[in-house]
Amino acid sequence: MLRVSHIQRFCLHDGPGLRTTVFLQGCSLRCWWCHNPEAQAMRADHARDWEVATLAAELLRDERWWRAGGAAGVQVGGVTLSGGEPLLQAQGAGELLDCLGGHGTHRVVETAGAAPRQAFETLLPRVELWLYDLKSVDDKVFRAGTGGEAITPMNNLAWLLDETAAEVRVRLPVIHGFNNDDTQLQRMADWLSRRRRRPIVEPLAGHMVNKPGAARETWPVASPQVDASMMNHVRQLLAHAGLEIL
Amino acid sequence: MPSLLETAQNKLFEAADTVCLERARLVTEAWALHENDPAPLRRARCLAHILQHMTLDLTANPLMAGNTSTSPRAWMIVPEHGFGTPRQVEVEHDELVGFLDDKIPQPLRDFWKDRAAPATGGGPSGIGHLAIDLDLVVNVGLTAIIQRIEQSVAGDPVYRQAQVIALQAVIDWSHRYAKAAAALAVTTADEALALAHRRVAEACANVPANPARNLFEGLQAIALAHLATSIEGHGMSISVGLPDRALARFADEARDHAGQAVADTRAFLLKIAANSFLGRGSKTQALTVGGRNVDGTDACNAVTRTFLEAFERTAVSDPHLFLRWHAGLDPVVARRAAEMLAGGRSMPLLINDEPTIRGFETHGFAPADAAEYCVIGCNELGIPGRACSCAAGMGGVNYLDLLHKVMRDASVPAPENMEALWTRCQQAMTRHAHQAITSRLGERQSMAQESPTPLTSALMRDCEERGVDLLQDMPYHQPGFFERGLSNAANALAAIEEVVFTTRETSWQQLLDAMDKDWRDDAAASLRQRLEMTPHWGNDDDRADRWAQRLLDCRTQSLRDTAAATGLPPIMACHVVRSLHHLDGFRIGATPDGRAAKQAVGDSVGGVSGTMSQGPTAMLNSVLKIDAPRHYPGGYNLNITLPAGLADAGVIATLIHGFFADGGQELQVNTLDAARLRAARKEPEKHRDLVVRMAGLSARFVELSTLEQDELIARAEQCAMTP
Repeated sequence: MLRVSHIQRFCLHDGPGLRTTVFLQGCSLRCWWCHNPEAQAMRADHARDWEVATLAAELLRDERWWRAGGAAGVQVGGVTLSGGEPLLQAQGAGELLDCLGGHGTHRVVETAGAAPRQAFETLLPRVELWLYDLKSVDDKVFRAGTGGEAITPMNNLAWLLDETAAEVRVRLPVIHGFNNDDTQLQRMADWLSRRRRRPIVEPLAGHMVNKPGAARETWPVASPQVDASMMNHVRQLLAHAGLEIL
Repeated sequence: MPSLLETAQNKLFEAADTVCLERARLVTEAWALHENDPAPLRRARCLAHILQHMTLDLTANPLMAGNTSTSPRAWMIVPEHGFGTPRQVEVEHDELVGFLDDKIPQPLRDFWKDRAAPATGGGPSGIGHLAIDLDLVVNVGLTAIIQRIEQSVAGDPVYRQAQVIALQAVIDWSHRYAKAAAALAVTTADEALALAHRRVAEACANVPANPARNLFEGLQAIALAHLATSIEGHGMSISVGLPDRALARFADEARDHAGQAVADTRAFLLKIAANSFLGRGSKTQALTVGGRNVDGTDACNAVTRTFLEAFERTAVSDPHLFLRWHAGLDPVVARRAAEMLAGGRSMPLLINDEPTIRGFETHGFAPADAAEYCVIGCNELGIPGRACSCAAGMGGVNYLDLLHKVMRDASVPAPENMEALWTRCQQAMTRHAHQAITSRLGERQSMAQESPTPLTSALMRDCEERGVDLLQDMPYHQPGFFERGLSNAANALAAIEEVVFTTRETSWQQLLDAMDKDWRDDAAASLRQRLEMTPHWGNDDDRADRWAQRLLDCRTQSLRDTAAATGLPPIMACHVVRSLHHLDGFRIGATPDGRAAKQAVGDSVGGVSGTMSQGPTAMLNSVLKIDAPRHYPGGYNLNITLPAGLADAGVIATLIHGFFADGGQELQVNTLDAARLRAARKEPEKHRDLVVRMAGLSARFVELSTLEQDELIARAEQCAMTP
């Protein structure tokens, strides 16, 4: 069984190719810039509990479009589990990924890493690509922005990069007023460049959206948008640390 | 200094609509002289008189010969078919409403009052909706066709004589251009212009009388033949056929001299675009390239690629470009098409060989002919030079209108359940199809008698073996049946099923009452909101999709039964809209899909705009449930609008591959940006190159009516929001 916030077809930015993204309900973090605050609570009226086989069948309705990317000489698509935090439903997520794997589906998990190691171990053989959100490596800053501890996501990411052969793309959300100062950015770059396998890094401009969300309401500051010149600066900084930028 | 090409394009796009009475006067003179001749001879002599005396315009676009009136967008009038303007052209260009009313001299109106024979299949125009055999025009030549006809004893000797007169008139016309261009070449001081005139003079001295000797001559021959068939009297949808196949022997030249080939093809496109029948109104002159040959090999060549490039660089909307897609399509062509669509060109429109060819084959066409299909209108399909197609259509249906009438039938009590309602729909469909078709059984023959087209008939393959008009005998007679409103009707049935018969939230009578009120009072408005929550076609939801399938099964069976009962060949149904979804909508009251009275119906076989919440892949999944070869051997149109910027060439290529690999038939992709559309409306002069695909019509956005512009802006906004 999986608790799903919503399903979105024809996703273009959640991994390679055309994808269907499943937003799982529930997250342990409360990032104030969260784009899916409705998926934060573990229970919500809009969420629906799915039997794994039923959910897989629903997703596979778009299987032809995932394959079509390969036929078109572009990229094969597939399914992305996002959230919320998909690792919090690792058992159900694993079963779903097994089902999809049986159909040859390319599987992506998008995580912020705030989950037990065991959850990662469960999903590891069932995932073709990890999209790993690295928000901050400064516990004080991390805690202020997300309500969680930095160490858990850092340890899990370090494990994926240092101890496994998993394909990992690190997504770095650049959030004005949270992690966009050079000290913070440099610390993340340095930490990533020290990994045994240096990941590809994709900096993402954090755009403020005005969705209603519990955590957001405690942060009354209307943060300015991150502009293109800021993003160029971030890319340069990351590249200077020897990281490959997407 | 702008090039000759740019100048020609500017002259065309900047020209205001005016009226040219020259053709009307010439045909009136000739008609008076030959009134007592047999119809085919009269028609041929009228054509010869026009071509012999009309003004030759070698200034508006000096790069190629051929014109239908004295200047760009000066309407060529065809009084033989009346003086009206098709309603759809008025919907598309509101400034053209009543345009002709005060521009036709009374004596002309009086002369034609009892003589005009308004034809069907394109409003007050010739029947059109066909494509001539370009291989005859480019590679055989009109002189050889004349010889073949003169040696023939088939058919009607009078008709054959008319064909020879008409063909010779076109040859003489080209020779007039040759002389005029040669004279201009001597007098002009501008070297580039003199060179253009010399090329035209040299080409027109040779073609279309003789086989073309190079690509330019081939294009020139096609332009003259095409415009001559328009002058003969075909109005709408004289299509350009498959020019890349007819010109294939010049592929090496197109490859080795790509720059010149593209420039010449651009001049050709502007020449076809300047066909002045209906002025700026579209003539839907489809041009089809690509596709596979009968042996499965790819038919693309360097000329195919040349046409893509020429369209990319020339913002014409009519002709509109169709690309025939198949699994073995030249990857360079496939990639270029996706790039053009991602860039917002709204062309090429795409059609998939596999289901289309299978549709022709299962409806009695030989594989060799089916492999040569092309688009012959907005999106209707035909075989160039071999089929008398939906020109003489056998009627059609608007599914939503049909359902509306069933619901409004006061002579029967409210249906007890969904199956009872569905049985009534089936019976209504059967009656409607039978009535529509039987009422037109004699139409084709009477049109052949009243409005023969000896020139066009002479440009059909093996015409000398028949010796009669194309309406009387062709290798294939392809009766068309045209339809709209499938999406709305499926939505309406799904809504009734859920709200009236499953949950029983509302009664049949309450629904009718709310429709009567056009959703205006609170109870009606609230019911409408509820109806909008029911399953909708285009969301990959079987609860709605099965109704579209049932409607199609029912219609196809009705057509088969009627064809069998009347001895007609298989009827080629086609979902064709152009802009008729507005005109249909104007006359249909409120409907159970939540649509208000007078609102447009759906613009394609895809979901109704604003009702697709699951995104494009779900919409395409719904459409893939349609068995296209069985239900739409005559073609369907499918609009998909993607947000500009988001949908790159890779995304578009993926959608095309996925849709066509699983049997999708036609796809017309718009990548639209609502902000740009709004800017274009505000400052049209800065956005003259913006070409869009409407329901079934390509158009330059800045020239469209407010109604059509609003529809496109709404579509662009909608696609930016979902998913």
